[in-house]
Amino acid sequence: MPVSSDLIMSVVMKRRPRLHGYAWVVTGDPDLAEDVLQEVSLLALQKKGQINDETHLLGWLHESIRRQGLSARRAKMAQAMQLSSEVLAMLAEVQADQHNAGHAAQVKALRQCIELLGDKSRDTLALRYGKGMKPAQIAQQTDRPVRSVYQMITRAHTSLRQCVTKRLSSEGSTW
Amino acid sequence: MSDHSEQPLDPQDIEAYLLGCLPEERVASLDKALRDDAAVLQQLAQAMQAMSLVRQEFAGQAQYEAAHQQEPLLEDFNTLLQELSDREAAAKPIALPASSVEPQHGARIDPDKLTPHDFVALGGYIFRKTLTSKPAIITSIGTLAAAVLLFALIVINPFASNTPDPIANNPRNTTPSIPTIDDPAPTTNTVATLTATHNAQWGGPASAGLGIGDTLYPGTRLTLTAGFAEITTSRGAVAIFEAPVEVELLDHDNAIRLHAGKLVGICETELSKGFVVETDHADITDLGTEFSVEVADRHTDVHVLTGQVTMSLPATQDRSGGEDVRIDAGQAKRADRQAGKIRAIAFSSEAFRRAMPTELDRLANALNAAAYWPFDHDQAPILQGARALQGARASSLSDGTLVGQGGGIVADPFGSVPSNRVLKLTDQSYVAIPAKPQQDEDKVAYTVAAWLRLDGVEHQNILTKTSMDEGPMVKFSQNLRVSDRGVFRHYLFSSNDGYGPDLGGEIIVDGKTQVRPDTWYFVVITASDGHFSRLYVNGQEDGPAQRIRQPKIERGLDAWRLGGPSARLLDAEGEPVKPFSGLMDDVLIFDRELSAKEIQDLYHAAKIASGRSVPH
Repeated sequence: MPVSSDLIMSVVMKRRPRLHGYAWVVTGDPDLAEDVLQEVSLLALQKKGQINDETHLLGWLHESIRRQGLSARRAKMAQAMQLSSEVLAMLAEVQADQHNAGHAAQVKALRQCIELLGDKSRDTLALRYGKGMKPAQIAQQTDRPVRSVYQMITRAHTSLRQCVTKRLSSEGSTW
Repeated sequence: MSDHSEQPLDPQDIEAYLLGCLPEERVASLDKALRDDAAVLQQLAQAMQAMSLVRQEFAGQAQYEAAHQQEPLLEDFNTLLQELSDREAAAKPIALPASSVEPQHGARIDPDKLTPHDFVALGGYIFRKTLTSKPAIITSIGTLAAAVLLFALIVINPFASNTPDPIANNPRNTTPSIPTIDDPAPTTNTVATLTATHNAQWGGPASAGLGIGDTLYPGTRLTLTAGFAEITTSRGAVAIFEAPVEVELLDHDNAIRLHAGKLVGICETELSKGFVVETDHADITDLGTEFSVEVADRHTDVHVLTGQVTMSLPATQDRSGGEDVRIDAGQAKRADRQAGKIRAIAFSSEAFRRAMPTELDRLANALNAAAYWPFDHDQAPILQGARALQGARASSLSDGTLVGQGGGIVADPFGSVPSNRVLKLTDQSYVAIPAKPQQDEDKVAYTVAAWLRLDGVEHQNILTKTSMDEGPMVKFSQNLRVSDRGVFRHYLFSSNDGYGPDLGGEIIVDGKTQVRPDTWYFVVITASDGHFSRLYVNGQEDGPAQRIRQPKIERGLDAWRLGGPSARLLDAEGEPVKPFSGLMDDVLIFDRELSAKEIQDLYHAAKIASGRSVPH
């Protein structure tokens, strides 16, 4: 029996960080990943008659994200080196298998961790994601080298990931 | 190890990849790690979720704020919902997911009922809309750092009121009994003590059987035919003789007569000032300094390294003594009795090529330094019994590797003790140093000490130990820096405890001394897991010690570097850190945490060894 629109939207919303994250890995660009995720979500709604169940849906979403993502990446002519398709496939598998820790728990842990973040790192993330500025623009505005902006964003992300992981595990949960 | 694919995965590589700033060769390593190691794949799965969430969170926050400012955003949102609805209608009816916001088809949303969380929940669909609102103001919660101010113990020498006697302070040097203020002016028996020798051979009856620690009496005439010898007067003046020398101890407590040969005189303490060296050609009085005297047939030369001395022609049958002529640091004068005058001659640092071990050499040995680079003793003989650091002590650059351009060992161009040689480093060079491995596996600690003279006070790495030279991803970093605020900084970062630098992963001790360019500082950093991270400048603790709660320190002392590793290194704030450029001297590394008292001793010894004056 094909999946319902309800189920599709529910899965897409609940697994948004996972799906968007996967699209990010594939495209190498969070904004492009957003486009891809939107397209694929809408495509899923259109193709729901061909999708059997939730497991099938997850596989279908990842495969679609990978295909669309790669073509979007090519269209953008992104030059940066990329992970192998083997790894992308393995990642999709891991993703589909994973049990979700629960969006609310993740967000709660994340907010607590953001509170701990240094001002400078937080402000940089706010510029990057809140205002959608590119690292180069942030660098210009804050009068810092671009590399330094990348470094700060990278470190902040790693710190937050480690912090959230700790918090989730202290509650007996995982991602 | 040259194969890039064998580079260990840095925890930050995953995020760096997603941000598009991972160097290509590390992308290959990451790819391999992901294929080989399920745990790494799991980490990537977590990281991409986390990053997506973070992005969503910040964007959601911004949109939430924007929503309360601007109607157009909501228009966008509602338009998007409409679009979804239309598309869905073209396929089949759509039901939006259950969430705290449950928009109906075609429904308009009241901005006042939205929370940031709702934006997060629905965020994916409106990210692409350009925001023109005010920047998100993220409230920062300041964290209160509990600063523990530890006052360095003021070590009061119970004997000398001013400066502690360096030799008396030397724990190894117990034999010679140096008279102290308890016995301020022994005018009868002891005038001086033989405090050190190196390959010394004596001539003449008075010198027979002399040994270190022996007392020397007035009228004693010593003939040193080979090697070196050091005596310390009862007032603490030190005279180091290089054979051939003939010297006589005079009948008062702070004077000698140099009949032939040369000596280096050091008067560091208040009590020792006024040390007199008589020669056939001149009387030389030390006013607190380091100087050399060399007696030739017809003249006596005096070179002054630091401080001042006065020189005068001695009284003769023909005339009374001459007027005192002052000689300042970096100057030299010759007293020529026949000509009956004192004239200036060219100052030479060669006169001071010290072969005797310094107090610092002895202390380095006594405190069991794991590595010690005085830089100026490479070719010099080693004083008997004064150090047994061979094997442990790295005495020359052959024990380390000078990397890059422009660095090397040079004569100290700033002349405090011109015989001193120092390590010059440019921002293109550094020294990679080996040292013996950590001895006590259970106790992970270090002390690193060095004289430093910076070309410019810029944010820079001075002594570095890090997992990666070229940034931006670093697993651990231990270093002495100058911070962007122009103070010394002892910086410790490790991702071992699972926290990145932004979440308490860093331990920073900032000094209070404003660093000046072209000024010598003796800087010491100490750290011990479970104890404290500390910073000392010129013998005193310079900033609040920080507790090291989690294991932070990398084992082993062999990865320390003199100088910054690379111009590309960034600090935790992402600011570029320049490599050290300037001079270094007397670098010591210990595999334990030295105490405040030991560091003070080290500082005094280093000051005496180098003759450097420091800013107060």
